[in-house]
Amino acid sequence: MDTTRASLLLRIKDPADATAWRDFDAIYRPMLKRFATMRGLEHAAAEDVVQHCMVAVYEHIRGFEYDPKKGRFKGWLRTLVNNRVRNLHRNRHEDEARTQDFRRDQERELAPDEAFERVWMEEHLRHAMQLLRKEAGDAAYAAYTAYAIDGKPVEEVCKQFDLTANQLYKLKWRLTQRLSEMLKELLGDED
Amino acid sequence: MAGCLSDEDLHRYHSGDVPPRVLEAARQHLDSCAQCCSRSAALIAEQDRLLLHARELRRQPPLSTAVAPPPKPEGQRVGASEQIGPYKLLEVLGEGGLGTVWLAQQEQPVRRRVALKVIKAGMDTKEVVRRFEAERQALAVMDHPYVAKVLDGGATVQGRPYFVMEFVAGEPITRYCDRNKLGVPERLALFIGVCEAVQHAHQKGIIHRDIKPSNVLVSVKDGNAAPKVIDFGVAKAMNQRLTEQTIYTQQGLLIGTPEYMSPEQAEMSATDVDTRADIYSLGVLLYELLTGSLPYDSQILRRAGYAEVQRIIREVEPPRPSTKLSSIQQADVQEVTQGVQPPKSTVEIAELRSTDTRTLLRQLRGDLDWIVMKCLEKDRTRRYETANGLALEIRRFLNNEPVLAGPPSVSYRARKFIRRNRTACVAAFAILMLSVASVIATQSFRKARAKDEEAKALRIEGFIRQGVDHRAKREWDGAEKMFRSALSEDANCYRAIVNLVAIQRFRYEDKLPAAVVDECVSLLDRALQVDPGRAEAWNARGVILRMSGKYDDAIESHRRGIEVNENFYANWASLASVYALRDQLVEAEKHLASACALEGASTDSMPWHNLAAVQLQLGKTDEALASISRAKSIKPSDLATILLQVRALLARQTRDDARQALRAAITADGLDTGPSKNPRVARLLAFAELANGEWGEARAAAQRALEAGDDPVWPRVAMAIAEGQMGNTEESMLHVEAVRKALPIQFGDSTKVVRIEQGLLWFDARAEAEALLERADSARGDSSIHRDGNSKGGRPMP
Repeated sequence: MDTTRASLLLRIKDPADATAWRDFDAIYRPMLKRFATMRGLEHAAAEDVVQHCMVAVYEHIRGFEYDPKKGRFKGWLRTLVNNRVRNLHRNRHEDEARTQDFRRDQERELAPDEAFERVWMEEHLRHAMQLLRKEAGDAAYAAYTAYAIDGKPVEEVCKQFDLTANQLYKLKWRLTQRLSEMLKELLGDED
Repeated sequence: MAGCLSDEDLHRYHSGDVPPRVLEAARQHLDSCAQCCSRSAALIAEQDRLLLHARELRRQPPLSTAVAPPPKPEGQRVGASEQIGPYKLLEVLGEGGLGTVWLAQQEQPVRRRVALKVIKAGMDTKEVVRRFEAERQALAVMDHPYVAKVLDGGATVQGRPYFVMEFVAGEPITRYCDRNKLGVPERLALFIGVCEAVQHAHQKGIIHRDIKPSNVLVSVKDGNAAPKVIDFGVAKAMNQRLTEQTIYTQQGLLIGTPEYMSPEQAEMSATDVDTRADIYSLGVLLYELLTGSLPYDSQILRRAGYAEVQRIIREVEPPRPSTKLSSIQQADVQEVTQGVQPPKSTVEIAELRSTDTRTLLRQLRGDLDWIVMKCLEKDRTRRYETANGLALEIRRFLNNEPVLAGPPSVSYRARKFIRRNRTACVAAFAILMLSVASVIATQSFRKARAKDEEAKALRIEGFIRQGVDHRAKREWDGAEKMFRSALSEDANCYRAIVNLVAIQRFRYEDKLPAAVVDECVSLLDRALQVDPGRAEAWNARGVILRMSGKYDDAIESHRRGIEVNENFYANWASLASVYALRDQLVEAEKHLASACALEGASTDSMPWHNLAAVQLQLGKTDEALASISRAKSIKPSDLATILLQVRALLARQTRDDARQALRAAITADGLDTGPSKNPRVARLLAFAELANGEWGEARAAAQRALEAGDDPVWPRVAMAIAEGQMGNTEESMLHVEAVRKALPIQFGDSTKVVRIEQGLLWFDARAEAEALLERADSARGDSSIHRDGNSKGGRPMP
């Protein structure tokens, strides 16, 4: 299955391609949800924003000429979700008492655009990791994450997955490289 | 190896995918060729950067549990050009009666985010800035992890005073505690931190003068909550006192916070406010943390005139925390005034402290009452002398050691009496003196003992804090060691016991070793011997026993819990789980219905979820769906509950329900992003796809379930149906074969498999599997019709 975004965007234009929309949904729904939450919306409101954006993508996608050189999709999506969040805040602001209050989550220290960049990157990475898991198989992936990401000691991981230290080092290099390739593929030319 | 290494070569070199001889040659080349060496380093750096991102990603909490703060007024955003001194204003963090707090960016001399408070017009700016400058030196030497640094202050171009502080990404302590439902001991532990911060400031000669929840923020770092006191020096500079200007606007609306103000601050003429004013405010804060309300009714204060507010604060003796709590219980209907939080019921207040009313009252009565009341003394010489003294006292309480505070002594009351009745007879006076003497003797004995135990109290507190830290990081061994150390200091330390039991439950999940079970039970027995009234300890004991298969003992334990407090829902719900495990579903349903009728179930989805699961097994599909919607109203994105909903919808067997089930299953699939996927998500997705006639999708989802480690019966039977529908008779038969083999493995002799995961029930029934097998058989029979006709959709429910 071709997973680059360019092709994904082409594929979701085709109403007959049901899996394309699922793939698209799998990446962008959690991304939009996280972004909306970071912008201070609670669960229900964030869901509304996400739904609105997904519907907008669905409706506009047929007229949407994807040009990989211009990086339009990312900017378009960012504007879409930002406007929606802003409208929501503005409408509420009128009937809400203002309280002296500091922001809670450290993520919210980021300005909206920085926050979007971060979510964009991280959610694609999350998806790439899922693809990697499928490709490498659950056992290899589990050994890989235990060692390379969770930082468990070599001996422990080797023992648990019945690997030699050398095999584990190889696995780490190989899968990280693969992850990097997948992420580049996913992000396309936009980043 | 003469030439340089290609990228391909470098990758092969790093992954060790080359023969040893070539490896050696490559190593030599890299040592000598600077260009290849730096390219190799760049590759490594790129990998490290990626792994760093991945690590970051793993640390993020799942989305569904993230709680967002109220939205910020977006209209208040300023353009990039707005600037105060060297600070670029980014956005409004909040607005209070006295000014606006901004998030700002400082560029010089260091680039950092700060909080900037701009005071509203109407203050004498020169005077404010002068007073701030006078205290600046003292503020600069404050250095404590729980004190937010005051960085700067000055006047804006428009002539308004402003203060610059370290930016704290936190929320007011009262809100944090309620949102996380912290129990009384956890609240006290946080409060001790606040005392330490205030103590530090006092030692540096800084009095806060405006301690209140919005100035005590809690932020969570690496899983540990820490308080941070903000706004030191601000109140002093603004000479904030209880005056008509500071607490009322022209419309007569109260905007200040007289609730936290000490009597000496309330005196308009008072000039000598000292550290003991902060002790008073700490007392009010503690009062609020414990009871969820303030010593003086905000509504009364807000309705009273200015002189009346002063009189109340100076003269009226506030009720003890426990008295206050029981008085809320009696007042059934209370007026809700604008701008004031609607009053909570006692049951709600107890809930927010993860306990029940009776236990909370018991916790407050006695020592905690006296500690709080000692802070709130009108006469400041009778309060704790230092914030540290208050912190030590709370530590003593936490370790069940005698505290210094006590009910107003006979001697004190006697002195007051004599002062009021100077003509009282001499004989009576002499008798009074005798009792005074005896009280003094007792008190000095208590003091000596308390001092002896002080060091021990500190040690225990230290152990427990470290243990809780370890627990948050899931470092079970470290946590266990700490709680055991605390127990070796005090074998009956309740906090150590409950924490130790909790980590054992987490650590072993459903497979508790027998020795651990025995120890947990005996620890809880010890705690219950000290206080048999702890319904939650009976519940923990029952759950542990159930996990180890001792169902009779578990039932007994939950029954005892219900005896001591029949209004605590958890024992009812846990008891039902034992009945469910025994396949006594009618009993289980009855007990779950009792649990759901209690207050506690209004904030916990568990009893509703379990009730739905049992109802579904009993064939009460509509009731089950109603219970599910209650569970979802409490916890909207709980994966297990959504899966249950999919099952219930599929059981209704209509086309609309099937569609809705598919939507729910896809939602569940989207929510399930954890490191270890729940195989049941894919399983139910497969059945939902089947119900919608999506045979290919169903097969793929079933395959995923199988790979994720689901009990093979379910994905196999789904595949058997899907393959049959698609006309692949042979494949279908193979799957049927596999199901027949797997059935005895999953069910043995029983008709049901019951699982309890994180308290939630899940049933798999043999009858259901057999019905599905029949469906697979008929699917093969029907497939020819479907191949010729419309193979997609069509059938409402097979």
